[in-house]
Amino acid sequence: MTPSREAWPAPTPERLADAVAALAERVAAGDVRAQLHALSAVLRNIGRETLDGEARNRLGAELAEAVTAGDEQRTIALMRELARLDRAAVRAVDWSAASGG
Amino acid sequence: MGEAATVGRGLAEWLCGRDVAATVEVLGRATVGLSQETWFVRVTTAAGDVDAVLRLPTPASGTRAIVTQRTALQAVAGTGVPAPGLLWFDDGDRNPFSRPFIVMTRVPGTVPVGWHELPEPARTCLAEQAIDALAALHDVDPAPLGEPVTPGFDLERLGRRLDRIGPLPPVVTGALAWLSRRIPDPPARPAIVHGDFRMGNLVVDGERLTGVLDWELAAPGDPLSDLAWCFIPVWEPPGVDEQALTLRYAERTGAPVGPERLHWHRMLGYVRLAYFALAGTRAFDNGRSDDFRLAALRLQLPVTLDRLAATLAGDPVD
Repeated sequence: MTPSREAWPAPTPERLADAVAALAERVAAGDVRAQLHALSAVLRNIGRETLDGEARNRLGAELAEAVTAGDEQRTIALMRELARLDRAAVRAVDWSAASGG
Repeated sequence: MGEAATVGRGLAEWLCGRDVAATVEVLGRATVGLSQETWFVRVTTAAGDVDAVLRLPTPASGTRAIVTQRTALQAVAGTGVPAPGLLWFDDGDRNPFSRPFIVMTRVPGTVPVGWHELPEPARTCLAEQAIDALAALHDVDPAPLGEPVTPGFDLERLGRRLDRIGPLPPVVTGALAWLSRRIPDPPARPAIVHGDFRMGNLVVDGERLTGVLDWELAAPGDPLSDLAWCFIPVWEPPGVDEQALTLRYAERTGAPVGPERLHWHRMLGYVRLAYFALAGTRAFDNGRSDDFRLAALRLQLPVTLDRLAATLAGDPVD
């Protein structure tokens, strides 16, 4: 048996998010339910902020250069590309649940 | 004594000091709203029961938010704008709450999170009523709210607020550069700008729009900033016919809507939305708030910026 380098196995953010969302459905108070749905969304996205980090850093640097150079056409094209990549990394939030409970 | 009981007793005490003999029952506290405290109360006097809403500032909102709401509600009272009636207010801090407050009538109905939550044909019907209410608001004399805010000042102020947050996402920097090259002239006819006119601040009772809430950002300025903002997807795309509603607004106000001016305000609106996400995220991260909804706002930022970039590139927004 290969020894683990970790003292104990940590739950995945996804698993924690599912458990918190399930807990939210058992809570009667609307404000607490909303908070739990919001927490679930945060947990579900932990670690995803670094996805495609290299490409996003490169695009961000190119965009900053285009803005400084006043190259508007290139600026808009790079904004589009970078924003699309950033959004693709996010697991969407159910704001109806997170706002209204 | 619990917080609700303290609030009820405080209001009753304040009313008593103004020769209003009343009992105050606290019915609950609003779960939505990210800045001010909002309490539902029933005030019973010799004249009968009044269901009302008590609003108190928080450190996040600042006390000025309450005074601005009071001024705006007074300005729109008796006009065609559906808004809560102002019952009592105190602009100072020598009261049981030690901060300004307003008490207004409770408008019947519910507040959907966004247009997307409403089924058709109610959505279109309510959107038309909202546009009519907006046109009516923009016909009200803005003088009581002070000097008009020009588009240039609006952009400059937003830029200063963003600077205070720290390093900005590159897409926001690109948008600010685009905006600063195209600042429109001050509007020919300034109006009272609500500042957050969208479905999440409108009260709906069946297929009737019964009230416009949350006046804390109201200020005189360019009316097209409100028109642009009401179509911006704060959470989800609204799913309304923006072109038809813009035409309706132009008909109701009798003033043409310049597409370039509207587009500029739409872009500014997206940057403002990004600012709200960044500021909310920061408030959670530095411990000023434990509200998980503010923590989750960071996840809406890439969505908002993608929509911003799509709009700038002339692509459809999803």
